[in-house]
Amino acid sequence: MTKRIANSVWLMALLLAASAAMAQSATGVVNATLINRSGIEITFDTNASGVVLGGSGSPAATLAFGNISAFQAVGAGITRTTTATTFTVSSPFNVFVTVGGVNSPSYRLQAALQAAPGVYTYKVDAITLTTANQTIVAADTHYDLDVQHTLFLTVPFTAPAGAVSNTVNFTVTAN
Amino acid sequence: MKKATVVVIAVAVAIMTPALCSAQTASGTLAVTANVQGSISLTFVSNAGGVALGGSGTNTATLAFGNVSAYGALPAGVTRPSVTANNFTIQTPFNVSVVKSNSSSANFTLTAQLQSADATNTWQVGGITITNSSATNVTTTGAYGAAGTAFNMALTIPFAEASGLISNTINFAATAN
Repeated sequence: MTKRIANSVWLMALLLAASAAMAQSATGVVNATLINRSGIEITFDTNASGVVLGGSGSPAATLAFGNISAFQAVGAGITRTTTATTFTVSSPFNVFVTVGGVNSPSYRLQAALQAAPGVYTYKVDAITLTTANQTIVAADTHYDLDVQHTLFLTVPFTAPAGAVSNTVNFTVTAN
Repeated sequence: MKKATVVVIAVAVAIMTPALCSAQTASGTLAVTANVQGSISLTFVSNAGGVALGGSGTNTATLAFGNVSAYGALPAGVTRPSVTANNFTIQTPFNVSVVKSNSSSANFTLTAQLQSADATNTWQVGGITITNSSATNVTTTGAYGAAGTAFNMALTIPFAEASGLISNTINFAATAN
């Protein structure tokens, strides 16, 4: 009987040891989620046929026509036309719009002058700009692509020589 | 037996639907600059009373008197104001148009110069004899305007000159005063 009890004790000890060995593990689960916010961005890129933009690839670019006149040569990337009373210089530039997190088939592009133009006329494509937002394109489907537009500046012959400047504020809205 | 404890940590944050997004609008700026400079242009325009210019309205024109002589009939637009004992003069009007842009200049100076020497014939523009040696002032108070100012192109030919073709080029220059 004593031997039997001893054997039982040994068996229980062995079982307890095995059980203790199996208990050295634990698991945990982390379920994480994130907020997918939608967003849209506009940047300007130099057009191969136009004036080289300052800040190309950013949403704040500069287009410098340089020295312009009715009858003398104009710089590279600039086209000039004249009438009996005015001359117009123009240069193409690219608009790049990217959007994420929203199912948008197209975007609306608008533009407005920062300051009243005075005697000068600014156009983007065929749209004459004012200080109020004008729609350049109501529904452009070309996301993630350089889209060419042209900036026109018309100068009357009666305007004095000197510096001319203004800023075109563009707004892009996902449709 | 000690049981392992399973711990679940759920980090749940509301997933925003498109309807809850703020308007998808972005803005960009394109600063435009230019430096306007004054300039003038010079073109030749046919005069209604003169020979029709080839290239009228451009700065490279041709004026063809045609067949001329001391005593024979002259083409339309050509007159013969003078026949002396040893030469004759023919002439025809043409217009020089100088237009200004973005300039406060009040008028211009116009000069003319023969491209090739001519020791035989006498060339005049607006009554001013011109040669190839230097540019000569035709006017120092030229008036700007698209219609232009009329000048007579005159050629005096001596009787001693053999019949045949006479040609030359006159280089004009306009300078804003």
